[in-house]
Amino acid sequence: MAIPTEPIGSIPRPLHLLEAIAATDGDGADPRLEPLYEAAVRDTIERFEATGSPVITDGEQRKFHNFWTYCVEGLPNTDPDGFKIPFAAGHTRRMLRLTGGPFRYKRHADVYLDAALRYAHRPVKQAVISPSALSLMYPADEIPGYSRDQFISDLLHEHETEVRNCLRKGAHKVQIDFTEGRLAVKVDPSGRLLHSFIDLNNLALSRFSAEDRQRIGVHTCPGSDLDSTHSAEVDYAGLLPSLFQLQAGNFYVALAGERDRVRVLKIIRQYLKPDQRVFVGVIAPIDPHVETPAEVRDRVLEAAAYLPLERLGTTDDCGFSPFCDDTSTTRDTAFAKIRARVLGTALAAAELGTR
Amino acid sequence: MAPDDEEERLRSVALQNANAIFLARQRAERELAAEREELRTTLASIGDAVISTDAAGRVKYINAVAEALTGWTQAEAAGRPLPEVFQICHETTREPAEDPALRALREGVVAGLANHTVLIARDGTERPIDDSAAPMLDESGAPIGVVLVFRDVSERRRAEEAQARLAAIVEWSQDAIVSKTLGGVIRTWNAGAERLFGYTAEEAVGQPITIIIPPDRLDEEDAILSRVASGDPVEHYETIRVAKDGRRRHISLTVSPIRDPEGRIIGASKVARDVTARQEAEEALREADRRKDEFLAVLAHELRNPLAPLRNGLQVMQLAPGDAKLAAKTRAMMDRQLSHMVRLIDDLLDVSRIGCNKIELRRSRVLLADVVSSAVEIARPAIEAAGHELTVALPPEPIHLDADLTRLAQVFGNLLNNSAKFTDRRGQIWLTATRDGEQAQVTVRDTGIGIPAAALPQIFDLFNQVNQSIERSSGGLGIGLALVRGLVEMHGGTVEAASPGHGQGSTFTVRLPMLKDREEASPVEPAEQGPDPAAGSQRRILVVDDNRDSAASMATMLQLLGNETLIAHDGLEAIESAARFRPQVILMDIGMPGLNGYEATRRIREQPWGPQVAIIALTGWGQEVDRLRSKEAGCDHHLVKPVDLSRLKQLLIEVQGSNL
Repeated sequence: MAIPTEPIGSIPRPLHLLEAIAATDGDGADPRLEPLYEAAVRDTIERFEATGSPVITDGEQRKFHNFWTYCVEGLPNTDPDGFKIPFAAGHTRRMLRLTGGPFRYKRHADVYLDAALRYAHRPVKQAVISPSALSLMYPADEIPGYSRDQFISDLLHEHETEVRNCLRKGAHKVQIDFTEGRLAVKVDPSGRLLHSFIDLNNLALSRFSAEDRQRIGVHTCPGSDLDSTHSAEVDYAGLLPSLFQLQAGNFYVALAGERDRVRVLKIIRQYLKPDQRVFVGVIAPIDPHVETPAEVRDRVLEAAAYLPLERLGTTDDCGFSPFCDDTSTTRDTAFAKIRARVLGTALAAAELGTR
Repeated sequence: MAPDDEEERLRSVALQNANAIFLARQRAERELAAEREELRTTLASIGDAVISTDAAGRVKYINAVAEALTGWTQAEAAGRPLPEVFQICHETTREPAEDPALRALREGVVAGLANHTVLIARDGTERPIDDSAAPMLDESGAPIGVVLVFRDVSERRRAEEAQARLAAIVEWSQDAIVSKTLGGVIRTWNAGAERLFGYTAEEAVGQPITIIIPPDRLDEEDAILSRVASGDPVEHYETIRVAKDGRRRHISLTVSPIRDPEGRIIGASKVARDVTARQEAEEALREADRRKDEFLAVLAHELRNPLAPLRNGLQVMQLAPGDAKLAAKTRAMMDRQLSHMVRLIDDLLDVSRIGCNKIELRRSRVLLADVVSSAVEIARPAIEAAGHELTVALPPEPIHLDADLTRLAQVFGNLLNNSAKFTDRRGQIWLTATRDGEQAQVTVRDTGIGIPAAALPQIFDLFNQVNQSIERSSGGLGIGLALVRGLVEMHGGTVEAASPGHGQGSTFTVRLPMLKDREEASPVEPAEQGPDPAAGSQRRILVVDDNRDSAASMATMLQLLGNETLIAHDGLEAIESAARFRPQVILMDIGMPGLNGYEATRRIREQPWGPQVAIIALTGWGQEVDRLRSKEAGCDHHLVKPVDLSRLKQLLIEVQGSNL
């Protein structure tokens, strides 16, 4: 019995690419970087496929500067002084702030898919940022001549366009990165902030058919940057019941790094809907230790004890380098961990199949 | 950890966003509700019937059209199993049909209805329908219901049947029915068109309609198409088309515009009826009518011709009453003219009798030589008058015929007269009789004006005149050859004409069956007795005629023969005069004002003295029926005006012998 397993997305960029980006003073879109991006994508896909992973990504080699801002990086109507995201290690990441309308993506993620599909021999999934994450770009004060309502409308349109393009071009799955979900619970324990995020994302998801939504997933994690998180201390119990209200067919839930996985699994079991599949994290990217296939197998078997197999899958807790300049994990380590996930999941499936 | 004010700002933004998201959601819900309402309105207003069910196949929604077709209302149908509301069966076998909705629900596929399915409404009404059913799936792809769309196809079925009937009518029509584009390209071509024009549908379709239009009528097609293109039909237009084999056909054409569903004229339908036979018949009638008119003109002319010398003769005798020599010469002239008139009228009557099969031949075993001799005698005056040379050649052995000598002599006399008439003076005429197997062949050949080849087939037709100007100048009614053919055919023979062409003479050949040597001729009827030269005994004769001159001249003639006469001018006067005069013979005219001759005769016969009177009808009516009528009225004999004096004298002798 096969248990599906998919990556989250990012793989650390080659150092020479990062050096080249640093050497070009801009938004990572310097044409001189193009051959390097192309080489990085090709190499990433080759190595990804070498792990045996049945579903791969382009490692988000072209996403600049990170999983959150790739689509708005370089927009003239933005300032870099948006919200700060504090991480446990003490550093922060800062969002862009919208300074004027209309809101349009600078680029849609399907352009990355185009490049990946040129080299891939296996199904490629594509991650996109959630509307809720980008909704925080609109400042507290109203932008003259561009209402918040109009912004939300434009945002939904841009997101829909991006997802549709990816689906149309053949993405195996389109994964919506919803890392701000758990952060929202941290910032607003009342849940109002989370619910507004859920509402917004559901508004976006409602634009797709049931068939499309079976190819759309939502990823949640406590953040992963420089071996640190932004909301790991937040109890999943505050997030997961609302998370599964999202009208998506797939959920990618960080679990490997959780202190009490069984508790989380029980919550998932309680709230997962019949038409939803959950891919539980069996790899902790920020943990320098490379999991063994056996360890992964055990985590899968643990999950299988609480979740129906036909709605269970495995994944990594998070991308290995959501921010492009994160070099805390090497590419080798990332692929080794991925290989462990693939093998461990297969071991578990084999074991479950013999019981 | 971010500073508190940063988190507060984040919460503030999120809260404001929440309001915008709430509004966006409301807007989306309103749009969704509007879409649903639009869908409901659409389903309610579309022409098709729609029923939706839940996953268990129970009716959830039924639109107005479906309500009308099934007889179930939304309130009544909701929650009921679909087969209860949507009852269907095969229209012929009556077997329940598979419900496509349930199949769609079961298999998760779009399903259609089998052909010839009827919907049985709640009240039992049946309607042919077609439909399709599509499953509704939830987010996981599981069926959550089905949408059934169906429609009443009664009209379509009727239309199809009507179309099929129409197609059959078109296909089996005796008329040619053709459709063509406005550019004149043939689109359809029925069996009638194949028969009329000779092209198969395969050969004709796609070809220009001009393949059947004669080059000299191509302009017609442009005019017809132009008229049809403007929406006007062309009805019963008679024209000529040409068939594949080149024959020209007279057709009656009706052309109507063909419109597309939007009413635009896209072509023309053409119904063509072959009227060639009718045209020919009409042409023949017209020709016959023309000949009749011409004949009447000629008749008037020919009858008038002898009248002029008759009148002249009377005037001569009036002017010179004492000149006996001149009177004798004049009487001879008048007798010839009168004879000519009588002959004309006799010919006319003979032709009429032949047409009505009322001539009876007095057949006997006759020698062809005798017939020829009589004929030559008949024609001799005309031949000699024109200075022609006649050569008669007969076979050495005798040829016997079963024939009426007088009538057969009339045949060859007519042919000889014909030659004499249509041959320039001092021409040559040959009459040659030969034996041809068991037939006698008699040819009359001349060096005359000849007969055009085109006129030969009609040369024996009644009233036919090849060359009217000559006919007129030569005299005659143009019925002589018709009389010849009629009489020859009555004898079981044939006659034909031949001529090398204009100015090269004519040859008429008569073939008659010969009598074999021992073959008996038809029983010979007793010949009429010739007049007794001992006429002249005095009788009392009442002459009845409303024409005073006719009565007076007849009375005078009878007095000159030694009889006592009295005249009456109508029927009543005749009865009174007869009662007083007690005639032995009454010459009774028939057509008279007041009491006609028939009635007067009946009343006279009713008198005590009436049966002893010999009554002779004397009338212009000479048909058999006229003779019968006069006989029924009580007349003893029937004479036709103008009366032949010798025949009258003979009758007077007969009645004197029998009645007096």
